[in-house]
Amino acid sequence: MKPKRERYQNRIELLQGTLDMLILQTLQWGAQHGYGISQSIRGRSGEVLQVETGSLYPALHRLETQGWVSSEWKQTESNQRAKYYRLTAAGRKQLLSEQARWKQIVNAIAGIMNPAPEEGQP
Amino acid sequence: MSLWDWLFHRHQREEELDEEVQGHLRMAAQERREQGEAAEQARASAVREFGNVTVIKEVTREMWGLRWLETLLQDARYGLRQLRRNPGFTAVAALTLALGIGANTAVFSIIHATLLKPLPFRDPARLVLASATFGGTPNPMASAPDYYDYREQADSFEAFSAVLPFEQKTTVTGGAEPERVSFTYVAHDLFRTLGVAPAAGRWFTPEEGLAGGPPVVMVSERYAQRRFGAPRNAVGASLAVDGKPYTVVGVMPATFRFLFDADVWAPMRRGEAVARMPRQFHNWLIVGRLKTGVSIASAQRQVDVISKRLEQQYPASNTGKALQLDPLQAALAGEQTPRLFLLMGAVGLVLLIACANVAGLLLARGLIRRSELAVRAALGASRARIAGQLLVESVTLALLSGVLGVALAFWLSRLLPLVTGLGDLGSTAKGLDWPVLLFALALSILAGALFGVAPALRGSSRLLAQDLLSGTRTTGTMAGTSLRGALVVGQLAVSLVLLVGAGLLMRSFARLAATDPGFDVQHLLTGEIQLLEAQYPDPNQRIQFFDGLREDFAALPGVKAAGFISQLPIRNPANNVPAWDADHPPANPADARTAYKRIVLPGYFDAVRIPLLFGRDLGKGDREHTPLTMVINEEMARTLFAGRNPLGRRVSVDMGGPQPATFEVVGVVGNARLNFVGDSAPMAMYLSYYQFPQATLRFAIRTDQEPESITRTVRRLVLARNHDIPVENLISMERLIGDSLVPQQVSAIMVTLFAVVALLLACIGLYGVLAYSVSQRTHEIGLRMALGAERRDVLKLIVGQGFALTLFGVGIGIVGAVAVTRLLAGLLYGVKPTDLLTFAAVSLLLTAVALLASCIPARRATKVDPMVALRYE
Repeated sequence: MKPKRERYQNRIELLQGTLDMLILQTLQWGAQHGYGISQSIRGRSGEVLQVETGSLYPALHRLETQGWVSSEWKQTESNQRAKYYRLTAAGRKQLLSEQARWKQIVNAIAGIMNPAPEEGQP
Repeated sequence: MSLWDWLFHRHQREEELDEEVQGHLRMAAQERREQGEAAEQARASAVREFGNVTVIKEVTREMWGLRWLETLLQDARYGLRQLRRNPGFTAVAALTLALGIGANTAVFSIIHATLLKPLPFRDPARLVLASATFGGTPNPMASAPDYYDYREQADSFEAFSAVLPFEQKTTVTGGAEPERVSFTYVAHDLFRTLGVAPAAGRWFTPEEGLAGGPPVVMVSERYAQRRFGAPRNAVGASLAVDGKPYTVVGVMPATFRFLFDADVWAPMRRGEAVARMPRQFHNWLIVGRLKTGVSIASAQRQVDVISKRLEQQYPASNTGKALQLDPLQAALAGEQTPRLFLLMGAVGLVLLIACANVAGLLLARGLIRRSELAVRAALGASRARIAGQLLVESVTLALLSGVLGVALAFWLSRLLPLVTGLGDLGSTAKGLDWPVLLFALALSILAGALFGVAPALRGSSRLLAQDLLSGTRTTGTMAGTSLRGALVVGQLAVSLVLLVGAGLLMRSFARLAATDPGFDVQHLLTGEIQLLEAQYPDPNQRIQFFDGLREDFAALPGVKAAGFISQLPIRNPANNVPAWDADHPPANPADARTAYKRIVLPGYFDAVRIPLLFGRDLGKGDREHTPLTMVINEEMARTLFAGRNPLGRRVSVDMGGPQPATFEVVGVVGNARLNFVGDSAPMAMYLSYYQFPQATLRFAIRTDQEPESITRTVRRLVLARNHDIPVENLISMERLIGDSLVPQQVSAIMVTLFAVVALLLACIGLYGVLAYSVSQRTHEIGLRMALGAERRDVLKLIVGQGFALTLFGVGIGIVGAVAVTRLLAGLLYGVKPTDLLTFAAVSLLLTAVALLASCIPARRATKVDPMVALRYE
């Protein structure tokens, strides 16, 4: 049980609203099923970001209701039936605007956390 | 998810979600196995990592939208299960509500038909009724010359038409048997004005509305069907109306109805007979269609200018006269409106009481369901969720009642047109149409919310966790009891208001039925006879016919006397004309009072038993070439000759000719009702038939047996004299009067019925509160009895509680009734809205019934066994 506890400690709570962006970003490289998306996010974040299934599936279904992703049933590599989500044109647009917003937030927070040295100070 | 998906693909989506979750678990387990975990272990870990499958599915489903609908249905299903589980409660509550909803729906269906539903005419919003007013008081009929003047001078109207608004019978011969059909005159463009196309043939042409135009009529589809087999066959056919041949040019559809069901319409011909009467004779009802974009106000201004001009032009006849425009529908419904609103108010109150009752029941049941609700709250249901669930349950119950209510309304709505007299004005279509059903639906939901709100608030506000702990006995129910007490006080108060209303209407009806009509109504058979002008062109022939018929009638076995008159009391109202003391004519002819004009054969007063007070009856001597004579009633003698001997005095009457006719008063008779039962006694004058031998006379035969038992004999007698005279509608005077009072009678009975239902409901409510109180106080009562209280004391305790509630209710109710019954004033006859006797009797009745209802739980309280009660812990 030890590794699990460790993972728990390293886990970072996702910022409100960022999960949608991460899902859209992940789907950018091709259609994927829910399990694949969660694994992909975990892998790409170096095991830091753990997506709760309790958030993932509601988010996927919400994105589908909004028309940003579409879904279809396909066979996986291991020959299982799985529901694959794919980015729609609207979703691609949404992703672009989310990315722009994310950059703004990162810059803003960075500005607060690492203030540029004020003039006149040694 | 759209509503469509939700309705038809919900199950598929549920399955897909399940498959998606299972797939996730499978893939996660597989990866763990690949990393070396044992199969069983891998599966368990995957599930653990995934989390609570049910909850995750739940929150995912919420993303589909329409989650609220799911919740709603779930609650409704749960509510239905609850209702099924308590069939007794459900039956009582649903029937109570169904009564309220049904009664409201039925009354609304009438209001909808008369006031709200557009008249079945083209663009009915532009139709106006033009009522002639005298000094501001609507008449509402106008004279033919005035009508033509307005028609020619007012250009606010697309069409300006008129109808003779009295249902008349005329004789049609040429068929298998002579028949009396409903008939009237209309301006040639009436149907065009209303915008109703003929079912066959055509409308009248303008030429047919002029003097000397071709003899044409239009007939109803109903009549065309009966007489000619089909509407098509009627067009061009010949019809013998009143002995003269007419050509049928058009057939009006069966759905068409205006004022009354007419079967034959003849064109009003300018300058001929009926349309030639002078300006003092007001018998045409005017209907106009405003031009598009012209407001009723601007049309009114134009009409006012014309009225002023006519006043100057014809001061003798038109002083103080004007024309008032009203939207047609409102104007036609005018008379019915108060009675409709009275009923709507009554049934509204009944529904209110029914809601209060069901709210009381639910509150009581809320106590039983306390632990269930507490468990739900403990499991995490929010207050809003619990309140919502209870509300949905109430509305479910109300909708169930709504279905029952609509069934009840369907039945009631057949009864209600009786109450309102006409019931509908434009069309014959009745019944429950969509707006009415929508009303019932809205009412059900509203009622459900209304009676559900108190239990829902209480159900959710309670300290539920405490209830879980408290076990069987509850101490915190005082709030519930007082809320139910307040409900019961309200119910009793509203019942009292209804009972007072019912009492007033009943007393008013009793007064009306007991009024002395001024003649002896028992054992009188009434009927009417119209001679065909073509068969009896000579007045002397008519006199001979009726004289002979009178003798025939009088000679019948079982007949005591027969009277003939131009218009029978109650049966044929109206026809008043200006009349004045010839020696003291009014300065302004327009100021002359009007008196009702009746033409009689000698012996009429004797036959109907109107007492002759002074002078003599009209006789054989009052003939064509003798001076004109009249008998007047007491009221006319008093009004015109105030205290002086009226005999031998002269009265001038405007008979429609260029000069008034002058009569000598030869007798004075008692006042008798002329128009309707509750009528005051207006001035009346009786002229001699020998001097005015018209073609139509009505008769009243005094029998010494059941009057309607001789109808066949009477009919045979008339047919023996002339085979072309139909004798229909022979009816006893008592029945005639009874029928004329049906609206008052039925509305009194209906309101009483509703009031009794309200009283019963209120008493059931009272009983419920007291019974509950007794069950709560078993312990206390046991203790009291153990300490020596007598059964009588216990009885007093509980009945006292009921009495207190009742007194409260009666007090509030009396205040409410005083405020409300004023609205009834217009519907009452001979009873004041604050009639002390009614108020006292009704209050006593309600108190007595309420005390009776209190006695049942009180008696149960006295049966409490102190030992059992004290051990009951």
